[in-house]
Amino acid sequence: MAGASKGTQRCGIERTYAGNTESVHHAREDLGQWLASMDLAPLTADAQLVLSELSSNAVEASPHLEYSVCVSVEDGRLRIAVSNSSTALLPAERDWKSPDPLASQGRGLSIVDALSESVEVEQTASIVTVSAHLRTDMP
Amino acid sequence: MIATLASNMMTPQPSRLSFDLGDRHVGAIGTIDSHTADELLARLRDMGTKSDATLDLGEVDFIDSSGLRSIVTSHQEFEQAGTQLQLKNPSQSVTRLLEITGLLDLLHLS
Repeated sequence: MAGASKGTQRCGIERTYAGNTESVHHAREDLGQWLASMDLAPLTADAQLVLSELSSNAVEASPHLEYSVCVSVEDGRLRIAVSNSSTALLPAERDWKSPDPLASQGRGLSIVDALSESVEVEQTASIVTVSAHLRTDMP
Repeated sequence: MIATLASNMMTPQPSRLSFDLGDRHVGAIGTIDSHTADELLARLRDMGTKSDATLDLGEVDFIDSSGLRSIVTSHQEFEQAGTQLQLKNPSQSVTRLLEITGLLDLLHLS
């Protein structure tokens, strides 16, 4: 397992995926099924896009190493957290908050940021966890 | 609701992307993500940049920034050659991503 999500959040869905691009499709499918089971289907398009970006970043940062996904509903928000083993430095927030639209790279986190109420990045010596919080209509 | 599943218990199935290819035309059908984006760029490069070409995105059910990167890369290669890559029929998923990223007015949509 690439790493565990920090904190005490109870994951409604908690899965580990192989560190390859093929797995990103499976992660999106799993999320879509879970959201439907939670009556959160209207969030599917945005949530799958967020997860796709976070998972793709994890695979790119740590090819061939597994990454983990934890999804939960907390305080009326959907939390999507992806953790992977990485010692690489993350891009500075200023870079993904205002990206060059025609740049060849670096759109992933800016897309996540645009679709989320908030984005949190936690980095330890070897584990990076990026969490996105999306608003829901749930209490 | 708790669900746990190790990835090695799953049967791998690739993301799905197919193409409708014509003279100076590529139609993308399915999913454009980090697993398939290079295929799209390869099909676009197969056409060369000697004259304008079209990319039909009407049957794209999912796209993320990896797919967008292929489109932007090809767009810039056509621009450098003095020709244009025209994007046709962007699906809802494509349109949404172009709006989010501010590319809706920077690429050639028809």
